[in-house]
Amino acid sequence: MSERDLDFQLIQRIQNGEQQAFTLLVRKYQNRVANILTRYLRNNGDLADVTQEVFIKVYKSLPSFRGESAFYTWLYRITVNTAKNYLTSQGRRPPSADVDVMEADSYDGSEALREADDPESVLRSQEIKHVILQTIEQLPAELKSAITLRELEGMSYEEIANIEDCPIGTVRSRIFRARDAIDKQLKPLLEN
Amino acid sequence: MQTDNEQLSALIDNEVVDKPLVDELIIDKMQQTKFARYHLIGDVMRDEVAEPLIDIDISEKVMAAIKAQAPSAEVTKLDTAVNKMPSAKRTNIVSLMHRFGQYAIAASVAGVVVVTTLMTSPSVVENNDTGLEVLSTVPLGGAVTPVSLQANNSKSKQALKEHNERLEALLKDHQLQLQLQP
Amino acid sequence: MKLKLCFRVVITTLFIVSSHFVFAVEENVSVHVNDTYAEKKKSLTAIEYLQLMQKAYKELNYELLYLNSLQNQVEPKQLIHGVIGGQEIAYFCYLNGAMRESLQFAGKISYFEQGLQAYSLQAKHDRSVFANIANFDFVDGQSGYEYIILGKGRIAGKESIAIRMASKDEYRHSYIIWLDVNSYLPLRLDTLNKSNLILEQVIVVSLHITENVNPWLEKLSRQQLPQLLHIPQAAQQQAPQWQINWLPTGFKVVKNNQHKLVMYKNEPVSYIMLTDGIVSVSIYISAKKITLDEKQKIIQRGATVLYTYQNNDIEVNVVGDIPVVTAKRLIESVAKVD
Repeated sequence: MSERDLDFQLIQRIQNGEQQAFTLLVRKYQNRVANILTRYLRNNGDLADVTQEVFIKVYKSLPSFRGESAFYTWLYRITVNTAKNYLTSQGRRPPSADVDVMEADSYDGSEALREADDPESVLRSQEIKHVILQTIEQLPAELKSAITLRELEGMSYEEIANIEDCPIGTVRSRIFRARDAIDKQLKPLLEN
Repeated sequence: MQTDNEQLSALIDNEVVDKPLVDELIIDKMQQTKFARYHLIGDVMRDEVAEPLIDIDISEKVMAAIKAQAPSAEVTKLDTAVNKMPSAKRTNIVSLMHRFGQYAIAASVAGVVVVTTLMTSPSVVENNDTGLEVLSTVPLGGAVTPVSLQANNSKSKQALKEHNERLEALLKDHQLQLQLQP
Repeated sequence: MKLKLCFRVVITTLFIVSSHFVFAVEENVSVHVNDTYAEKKKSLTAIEYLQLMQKAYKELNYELLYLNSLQNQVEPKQLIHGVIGGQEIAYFCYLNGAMRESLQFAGKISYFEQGLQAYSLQAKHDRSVFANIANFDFVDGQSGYEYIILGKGRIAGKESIAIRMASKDEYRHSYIIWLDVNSYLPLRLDTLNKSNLILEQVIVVSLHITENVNPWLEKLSRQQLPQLLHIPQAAQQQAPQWQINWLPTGFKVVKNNQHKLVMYKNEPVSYIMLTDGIVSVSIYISAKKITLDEKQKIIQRGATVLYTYQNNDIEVNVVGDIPVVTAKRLIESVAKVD
């Protein structure tokens, strides 16, 4: 983790007693944590509760987190353990093999039988997804390319600048413009 | 505002250190929702979202839960002077047992583990010309089966367990003393 | 003549213990070296090598991945060492299983383990993997050990030289120290008993030296350390109640006090510590709590021995990386202070 890493900055603040900084880690990772949990949990009704439990555990364990590994890797482990404990507490057997960060993509628990979700919220989240992906499709090529390299390939601005053969400042501005454009569509949708 | 948001975008991508911006972000709910939406965009692109949790924000619940149990989750600070903490000295000593029991010793160079699986070893490493019974410890999960406790005729299981616990405490104290050498 | 004999024994042992290991043997060594650089190296004495090793271990920026093995148990570990503003900083980590890490810096050592509250202790002494040999006074140590260059080999991909640190008597273990001939960093340490069997071994599998201090260490050095724990003080004011009337050559008593076993019911014990700079030995004298079937009991693990002796109402325990015979003699010499 580097100095510029936001997670690192936040964790330092939390470790120094600035509890409120944790809210940003929650907001940043809640979707990803919930996504990991869906691979284990069959009943989506519990998802919000277990997600919450994961973050409370993370908070409690933060004093011992040193940042040798990425925060996300660490968070991932806590999430998986929480999911397993939860399953055990429900009298279900956790998957026999661990799902690792690396192989997470190939493990698809969503195929498993799942209790029916609330159709309305399913529709709503599909709409949110649709709006985001649709807006990206319609972005000017250079904006679309910049945000894709960033979000899908995880490249740094410098790497993107090299690929796109433009200054880093331009990359920074393109990514922001892409986000801003999507956000303009997304915001009203989430607010109602 | 525009530049602020561009700064926020760069912050998300770990491309900037902007302390005042983080300060602001921690208190400004509006900025936080934007921060969350910016992340949601990436999460959706990578298909790392759970459906239908996609737009539910649990951060407030989490923070409320954390605050409710704040004392137990207290974050320790550098060199928190012992006398500044209420009854810290007592708690320190009590919890020390727990802590050392768990780890400190294992981390030290010559960590010695598990005396409970004592066994008479035929392949003792030391040439034992003292004519004494030599026992060797095996690590937990080791392949060797421990000697049956029944073989220890006159000694009750409980006494043996007590004795082993005490030996382990001695080994740990030895490690601790090494650490605290003058 | 005696020296040569000893040398051959060691070589043979090494072949038995690690037969896969390529060892450049005896006379061949001098045939192979031909350039001036090698000439310079060759002229160093064993003590000079060891002193260069100590300097390198303390002053260089490096990362070691190593294996710690004893009694068929192998534990991979990592050590990152650096110097920041003239101060040493060392990060240590178990590579397998639960995260267990420690950081030693600025007179403190901090421990971190997954799921547990981190904490710090005051620590003046470096306890990292090669710390014992890195802090030993090899010149003074000649009263108890002699140093012999054994030959050259390859460890962790580095050309290295083996030096035997042989105990002059039966009261302590011997060591073989391997060090990198270029950086002088220690690469392997074998602890041997008097039959030249390896009791414990530390072997580096990867060595990475850098010009600048590891950025991770730099970051750690600026981070706040966890809460400092205070160990209950030994009752210093009380005069020693026990003494030992025999000391192996080169050892001296560094502690003699009464303290409590915080890990066991706060039981009070009389305590004596002796050290020769390489190994430290603890002697515990206490009231007998549980009567054993045998009057004495010996537990060994790697180079460590735990010797328990019971007599009437008294129990004496000796712990340390020493031969059984030393522990036995120490116990026999324990006497009440008049």
